[in-house]
Amino acid sequence: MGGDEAYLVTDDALAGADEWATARVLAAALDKLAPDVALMGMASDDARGSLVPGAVAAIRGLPLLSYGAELTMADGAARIRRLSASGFDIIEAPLPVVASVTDQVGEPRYASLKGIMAAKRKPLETWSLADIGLAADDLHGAALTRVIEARPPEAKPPTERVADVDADEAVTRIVDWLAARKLV
Amino acid sequence: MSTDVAFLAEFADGAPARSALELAAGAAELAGQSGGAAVALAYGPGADAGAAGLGAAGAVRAVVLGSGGGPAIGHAAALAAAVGQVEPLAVLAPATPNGRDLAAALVGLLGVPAFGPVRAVEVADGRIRSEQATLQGSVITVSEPAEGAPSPSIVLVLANTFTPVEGGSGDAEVSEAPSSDAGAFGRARIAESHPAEAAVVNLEEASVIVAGGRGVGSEEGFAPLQDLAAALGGAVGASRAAADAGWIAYQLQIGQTGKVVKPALYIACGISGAIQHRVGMQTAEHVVAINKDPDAPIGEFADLFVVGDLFQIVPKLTQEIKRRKA
Repeated sequence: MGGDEAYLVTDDALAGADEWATARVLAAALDKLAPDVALMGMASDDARGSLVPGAVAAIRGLPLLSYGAELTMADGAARIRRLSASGFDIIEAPLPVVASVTDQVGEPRYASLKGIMAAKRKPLETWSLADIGLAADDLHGAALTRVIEARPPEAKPPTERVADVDADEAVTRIVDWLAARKLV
Repeated sequence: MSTDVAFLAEFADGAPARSALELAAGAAELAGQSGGAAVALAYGPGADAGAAGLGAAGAVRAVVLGSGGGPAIGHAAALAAAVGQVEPLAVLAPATPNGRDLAAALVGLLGVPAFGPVRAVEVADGRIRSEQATLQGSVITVSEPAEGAPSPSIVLVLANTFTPVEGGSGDAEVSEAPSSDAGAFGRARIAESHPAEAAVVNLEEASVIVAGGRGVGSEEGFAPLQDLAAALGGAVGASRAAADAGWIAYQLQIGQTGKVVKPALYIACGISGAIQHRVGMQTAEHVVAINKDPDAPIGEFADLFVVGDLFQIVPKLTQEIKRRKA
């Protein structure tokens, strides 16, 4: 896909890491790599807190450019296009920065066979917590939060289906349904 | 640590955002449980003049972080300083891009726990207990601060989780945040601002949303959806496919990388219901879907699924709703 080097931080002490612990670990790893731009997605799909990029920036003492739909670099600065209340802003900060981007920033390309072969020869280094200068005690058991209960969501009534009717009948059914729920 | 509950109150153009009024009500409710006071942490243009007015919304005190424009994250250092002074039990932050940025800064600067976006939150045994949907809504988890975790707990709150207080009165006692250096977060600046030609509604505040997807087919195809939304007193939204196609402004995109909405009624027209869209609207109270494709995934989680042509059904639906209202 285009990566030149990869680093994997893995340690038993990271099991169940929350957003704060994840940010601590990424910040410590980034301290070693010191990139001009630490580029992150705007959200993960598990907890959807969107907190890691900003927390990494805070821990490393770097500017944050968040929710970028476009990212460019020029003259020692990074710029993003970010939605505002009615239009968009161009937000700029001097390098180095932490940036988070939306899915508008680019389309993943298909990996070519040549690229897949080349990837096998790219360096992958594995780091433990100690390798990035952290101890398990620094991470408060990997989380400042704890889950005290996990359960399936409440069962909701099955979907009511209206099919094979003409538009007039469909409209009557929709309006009756809305009226029964006091939505019209 | 105090028993106060703080909340982020964003101002724009001299007025508090709807999120500030909702969180004021939420903070007042939680402060009632903890035995403390609701404290506004106000920022943005007009925050200095408007902070006292948050008293009517439920705040007992208000700390002004700054009244300048610029990226909201520029207020992070002042926010951390204010939190250090107030020492609240919790800080409620709106689950908007600006609110999440400031919440993230607190998590990183102060090393404190973060929760949510929550679907319910309470104070139990003197600490925050939150309930959230995780793993795309497949699991509900209840969380609290780990033993020995520092305060405050940062709580992300989706729009429409709390209802603003109506007809409140009284002023909040206003103070300034302790002076602080904006630090690295202050180095980001707005280089250009491009307002849209037409004002765009804030979808997060709408109680009825009529949303269109790929099946709407064109910019003109949204006209009947606009009419239906107007008849219902609601707003129009869209899936990513429709926004990417340029049929509608990105501000109106609902889903993983767009807005997360929680209206009382969501009418999805020509939207297949991919997971990326679903995560943006799954907390809607009632979902009606109209789609030509009987196998569209939205048919599996809508409350009412109508298989049919939206261009035939939607205009007639608008007429019928207008007729019943008249």
